[in-house]
Amino acid sequence: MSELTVANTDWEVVDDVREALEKAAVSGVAVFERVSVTASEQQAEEVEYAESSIAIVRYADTAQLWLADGEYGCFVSLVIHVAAKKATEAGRIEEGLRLKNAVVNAIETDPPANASGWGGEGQYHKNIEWGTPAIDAREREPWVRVNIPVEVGFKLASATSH
Amino acid sequence: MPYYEDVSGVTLGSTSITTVQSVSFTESSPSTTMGGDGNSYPTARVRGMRQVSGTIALADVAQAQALVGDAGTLGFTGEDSASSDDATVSIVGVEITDCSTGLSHAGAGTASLSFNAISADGTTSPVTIT
Repeated sequence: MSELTVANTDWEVVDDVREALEKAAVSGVAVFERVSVTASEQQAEEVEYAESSIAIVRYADTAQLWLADGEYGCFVSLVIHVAAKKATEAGRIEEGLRLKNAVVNAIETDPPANASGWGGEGQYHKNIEWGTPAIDAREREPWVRVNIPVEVGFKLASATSH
Repeated sequence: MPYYEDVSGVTLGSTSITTVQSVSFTESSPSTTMGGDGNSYPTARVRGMRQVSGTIALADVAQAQALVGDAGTLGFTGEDSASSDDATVSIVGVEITDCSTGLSHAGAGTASLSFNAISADGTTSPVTIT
């Protein structure tokens, strides 16, 4: 039996993202009533819609590249799903974008403790890289839903530091 | 066939050099050819001194800058996936002569150290690869 140490850094990143969203507040009012974590796309789609805004952190995958000195440059790919209820389509779009921007500000203000940019020859991954968000203000009226992809970079010191 | 996965354990004298992306070096035997009047092709060759020089590419620009002028034996290992095929390189009499650095948006730092090497006895190559 080999005694191992498991840092589980990708989970730490996921949990820190969840925590940042839970703590997010505007004028002292929490932005999201509930924040949950899933790895299931279907579960994220079938989320129980509520009167107040919610967020779901969906883990997609972790990728890694080998760097100099035996280090690994990694990134966790997440999709943050947010949903809120508004009566009008214009109101839903406005609220969807407000929540999308709140998500970005929340995580950029309180980034995961392990988040780190890394690079090698000809490549660089920022500590937090945002993808293109997708907004849906019609399919689940009166709810608006926004899916926000994000990659969080981090470094591991060696092949046995996972 | 060896495939080198990494350049590791780079040292100059007692100093470790980290963030190394690659080390390259050349051992050359320069010569000049010449011929007499009426010759269309050279008929004689004059050899110059054999020369060993090379470069070390690394990401840590501050570390690189501090190494200019340092001298000693340069050692490193080209790690093969099968350790039995590792290439261990030792170059004696090395001196770092130049440092060219670059910092860019969204990129790793790039520094290129140039070095040359001299023989201990004037006849033995400074380079040993085992």
